Amino acid sequence: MTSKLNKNSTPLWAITLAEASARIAKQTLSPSDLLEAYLERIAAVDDRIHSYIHVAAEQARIAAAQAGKEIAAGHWKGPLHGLPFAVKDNYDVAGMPATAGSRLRLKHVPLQDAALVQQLKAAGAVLIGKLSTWEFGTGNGGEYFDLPFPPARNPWDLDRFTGGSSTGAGASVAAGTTLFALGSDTTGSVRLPAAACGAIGMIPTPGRLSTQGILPNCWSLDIPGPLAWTVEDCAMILDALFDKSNGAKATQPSLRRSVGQPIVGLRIAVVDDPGLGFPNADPPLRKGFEQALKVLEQLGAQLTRIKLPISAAECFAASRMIGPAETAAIHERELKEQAELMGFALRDKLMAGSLVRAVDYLAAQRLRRTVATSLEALMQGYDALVTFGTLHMPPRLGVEPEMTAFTVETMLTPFNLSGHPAMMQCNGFYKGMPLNWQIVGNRADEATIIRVASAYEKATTWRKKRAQPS
Amino acid sequence: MIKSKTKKVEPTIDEANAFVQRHGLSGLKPEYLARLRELIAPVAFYGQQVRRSPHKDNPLASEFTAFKS
Repeated sequence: MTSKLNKNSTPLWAITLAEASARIAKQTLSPSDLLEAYLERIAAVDDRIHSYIHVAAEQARIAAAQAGKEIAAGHWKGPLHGLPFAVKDNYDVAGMPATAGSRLRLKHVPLQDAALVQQLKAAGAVLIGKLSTWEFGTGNGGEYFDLPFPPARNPWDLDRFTGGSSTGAGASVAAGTTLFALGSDTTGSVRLPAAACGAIGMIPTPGRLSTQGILPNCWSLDIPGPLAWTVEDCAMILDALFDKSNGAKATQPSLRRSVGQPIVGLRIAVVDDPGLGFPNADPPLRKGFEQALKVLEQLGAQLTRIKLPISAAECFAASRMIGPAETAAIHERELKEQAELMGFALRDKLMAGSLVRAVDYLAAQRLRRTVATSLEALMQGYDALVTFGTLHMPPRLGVEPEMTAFTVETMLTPFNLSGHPAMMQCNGFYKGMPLNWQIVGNRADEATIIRVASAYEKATTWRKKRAQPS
Repeated sequence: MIKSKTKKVEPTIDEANAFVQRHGLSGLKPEYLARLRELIAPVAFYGQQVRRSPHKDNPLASEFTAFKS
């Protein structure tokens, strides 16, 4: 099968969402041709990376043909019309299996779409299928090869971990088996796979996006988020979702308008010290971080080095009470009645959560308030904050201590606890594997994150490199 | 971090068994029970690692859902 090429001989699976959108709107590219390029890509590489649990090729073909007809008839619905996407398998899609990567839910077929899926379909986007995930979108940081589906593999190096829990979302965006994906994050599950796979992964301010129809993991901290290849692509997805999600009364200003805006004079806090309890970042990540700071300085940003008021390790300690306890409460019946059907990681987390004392859970929720108020006060003095994402390079798949360290020792949890929007961005490569950093905004100010990240992206060349799983 | 005055006491299998009996988890297989026993001490230790608020009137974190209608 010959891959469909665009005018510059770039395969269609490798063009950006922004370019695909423009070409579809101009009718120089049909939704069906674009979809076929992704289906060809899936056929070519997905047996190596296992980014999908379920590919709904025929349903997607029908939706793409329908989009093509609508656009040809002059009924263009907006920038996502005719664009293919996929969702983590903890999202409900009517009539499609929603296994959440678990033996317990192999026969679970929802009757309704999750709210975000509904929104994307209404915007004319074409659902390709469901993406790999850790069981129930949660776990203990490792992969144990004991689930009904093989673990996703990192498209930059098949022997390396994708990060979790939105494993397939990270792998698919990086490998080009989807144009964009939706994942979910509790303490890093969107940003970790984005980091390991070199994609953009973003959590907006909590409440921006509906969690309806997503299998809950932790009521206090769950937040959906998109994964895409470029900052502009991410902005376009959020523009489509913000407008109507959760019944928002007011239309949000377009995030896409922040793409390409100068960052001269922006006050950016820099956290280059993980603080007590966690190791310093791996040398390649430190080097990538410092080089990225230089780019921001050259672009005219004002950088100020600060420390987090409460260390990332302390934040993680709080999340280690909140997350497992809530997960155990949500899935108590399954642990009591079907523990033998679970993989090790989920069962372990549910048993640990069952052992959490209420006093310790409540102490963690009180600390969360302190984290939120102190970070809020700190952030008010700045337009944005940059820090490390992960503190380790993507580890070897199956090497449990390395995977757990990659998952646990991060700078991600503070912003889950505090409710600040945050983006993971690739800021270089080391020995073929992506580096990463994290850009954090004030609450409700995703636009500044987009502005900083897009300025950095435009000033660097990292987006030109694509993964070729082999 | 607070200085913990607790001691890391390794639980017995009887303690683990009593816990699962009391909390409706008695259906767990013996190997899962053994794992649950291993988890008791670290979960208690991690719980003590969470910093305590110095003020009794400091409440829980709210749910940050500023944009819900």
